[in-house]
Amino acid sequence: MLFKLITEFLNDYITNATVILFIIISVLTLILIIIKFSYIFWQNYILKVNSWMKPIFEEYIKNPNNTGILPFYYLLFPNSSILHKYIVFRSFSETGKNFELTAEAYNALKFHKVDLRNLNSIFWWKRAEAARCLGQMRYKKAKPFLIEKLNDPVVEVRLIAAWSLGRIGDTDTILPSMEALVNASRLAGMRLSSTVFEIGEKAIPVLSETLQHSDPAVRLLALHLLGEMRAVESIPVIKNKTVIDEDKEVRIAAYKSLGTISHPSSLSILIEGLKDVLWEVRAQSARGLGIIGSDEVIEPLVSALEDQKWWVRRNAGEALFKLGIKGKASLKQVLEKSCSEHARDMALQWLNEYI
Amino acid sequence: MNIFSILQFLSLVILAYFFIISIFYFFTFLLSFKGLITHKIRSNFSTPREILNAKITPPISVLAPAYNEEKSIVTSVNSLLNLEYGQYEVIVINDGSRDNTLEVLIKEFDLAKTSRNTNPQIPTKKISDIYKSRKYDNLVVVDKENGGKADSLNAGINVSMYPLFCCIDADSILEKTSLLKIVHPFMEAYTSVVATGGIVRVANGCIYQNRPYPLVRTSDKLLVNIQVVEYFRAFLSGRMALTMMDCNMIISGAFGLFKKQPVIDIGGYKEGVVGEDMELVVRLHHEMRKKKQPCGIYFIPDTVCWTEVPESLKILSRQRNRWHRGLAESLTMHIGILMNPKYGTVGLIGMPYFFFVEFMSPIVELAGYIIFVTSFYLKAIDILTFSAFFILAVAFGLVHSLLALLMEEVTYHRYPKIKDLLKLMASAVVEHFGYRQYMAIVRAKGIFDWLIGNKSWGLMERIGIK
Repeated sequence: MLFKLITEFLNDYITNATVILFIIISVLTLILIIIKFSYIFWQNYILKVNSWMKPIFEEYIKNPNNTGILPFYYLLFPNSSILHKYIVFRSFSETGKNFELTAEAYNALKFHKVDLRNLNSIFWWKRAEAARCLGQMRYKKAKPFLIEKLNDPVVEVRLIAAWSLGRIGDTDTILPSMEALVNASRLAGMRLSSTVFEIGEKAIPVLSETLQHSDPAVRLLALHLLGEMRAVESIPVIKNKTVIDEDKEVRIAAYKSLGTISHPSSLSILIEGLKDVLWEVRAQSARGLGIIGSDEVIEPLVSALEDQKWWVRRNAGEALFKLGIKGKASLKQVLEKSCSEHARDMALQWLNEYI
Repeated sequence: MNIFSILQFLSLVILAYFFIISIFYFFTFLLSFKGLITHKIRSNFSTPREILNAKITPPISVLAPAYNEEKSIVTSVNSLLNLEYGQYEVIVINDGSRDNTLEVLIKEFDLAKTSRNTNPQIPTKKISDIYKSRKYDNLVVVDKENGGKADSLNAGINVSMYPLFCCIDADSILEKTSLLKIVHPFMEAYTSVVATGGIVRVANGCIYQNRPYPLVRTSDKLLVNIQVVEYFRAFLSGRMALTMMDCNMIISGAFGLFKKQPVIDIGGYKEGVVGEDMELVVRLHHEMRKKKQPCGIYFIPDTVCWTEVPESLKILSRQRNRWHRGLAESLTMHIGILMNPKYGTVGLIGMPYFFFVEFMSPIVELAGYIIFVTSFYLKAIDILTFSAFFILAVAFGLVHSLLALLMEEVTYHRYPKIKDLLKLMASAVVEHFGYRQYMAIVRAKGIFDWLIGNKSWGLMERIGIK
């Protein structure tokens, strides 16, 4: 009965159903072809516009006083948008005078106004792109707006805003950036390292001060950044973070940071670290000693080859390997004389690395 | 109840089945479309270059099992050594090849024996020797007794040094920035991500020689182009939607990145199964969700691995038969997940999808053809109803293929020429007349072979990527 009803329904509406489906198929086919042609057309259009725009702009960069940027003043969409993108894109590979000229052109053509407007767009990707352009062009007046964007609901916008603030280069934006991003995404570290590298050495005192922050996540990030910056002057404050009553992750990061900075003044604390209760600290200490490299680390490292944790033994082996001839001799000795099977295994493995 | 009523009832059941599938596909399309667009926009703000320069990029061990690959192994290893990534090692596992794979590797990469600490956490066949290259610091070759792909990957995991491992097929080619893109979810949320997989694209017809990215072209062979459309449907539509619903259950064996510890915890790849890649992922879901541990398994649509697909129907049939046996094994081994709310969307959406749609569809489809032809022959249904069913089936299938093509065009448009698009559209139409029905038979045979315990891998002839 039900079948009869359905087949009757199908029979009655077969023509309509078929027609509807074929309309859908035709529309989809048409859309596909239109998209393909539009894409090809747009690519060719950009090439065409760039072919006349680029030489004029390059000429302006070479001789700004002769040509000026007058030819670009009255550009309409989409050409203005193509030029906007081109200027920002080319600035990525520029420094010094050339960058300044490009930034001047960006301002003179009022692209900063476009980007400031886009910072409040309802589309997050437009906000992120605007933040990126303003930062890339080091538009200082955008600083308060970018700080505001550190609280944007979309993480990507916050991350890009932090990077842009770094490009602008004021140290007072470091802490707000860290606080806004530290728990937002693991990518915060990646963005903030770009930020502090853009700011340069000026960032070191601020980061050192941040080591007193109440949030361990912020302290952790600061240690990571100080390590990356090889901030020798921050070693004393970093050492303070290795104390036993400090947060576990912060302690590990402090040892790692000392190793990465690789300054001889950290030797004693790293040697002590090889006896720590946390295996992560022991592993980081071994790694750090290998980076610093000194005769006095051989003996503690040889002992660390007997550690219960594979990672500590591995790092100790690698550290001895990095010490060159003396390390090699120690590894050979361990292989021949050590009572610990773990130590002999690890020594053999690293001796094989000399091939 | 007479034969007419039974046939009519069965016809109705089949009609209802395809109607439900079509509705499901429509929703997957909407979800995938949203997912693809979002991913594309987001990736503009974390470019491979930025990831490369980041200090938090986790080191990766790339595992490439090789069995009788003497002709292609050097090209493959060279392409792996030229990937753009910070710290990574390439571990080639020679699975007891009978040809000169090992000798070719020793000669080309100047290998020397080493006694690297293997940390054997997963039992495998005996490792004969481990070699290290004098030319490349990050190249290791493991020579072991033959034990199959799963065993080779387990041996690779034991030898690997880093916390993440990437499995790839030795005969596939990764794009230069693929590792940088596939690692991105781990950088965003290391604790909750367990595995990520990339898109597998068809290399036949493309030209790769000395280029960081291939010159993408369709093939002159219809069979290849039909597979291109199939891959679009499977990856861009299927896996993206499953990822969006947090129930992606396949990471292709050709290219996937895994966190090592969870894989070791569940005993590594299972030996003796045909579809070890899917089985591993389903087992990860099964074990980790049982313990209420986070188990993020994501598909990353712009991470590309180029692979050669069969150009002959005979080889394609073998491959699809094997895939279906693998699917059957993975599903039945973990049948406890099916419709079990304890496993979240995996139990309520992912598993039912793979079971009732992917696994059952060839049987239902074949049954449908038989029932409709019989019904028509016995005059249980008239010509108009018969045609209506067939046209509807073709039209729904075609809409699904065109939507997959649309997703590709809107997002990645890797086929730059209009000619390629037209060829793919034509393939999407043609596949419904003969190819689809033949594949239903092949996959149904796969179920039969699985039931009788056929575990053969089948020979895969390769022309070689240009």
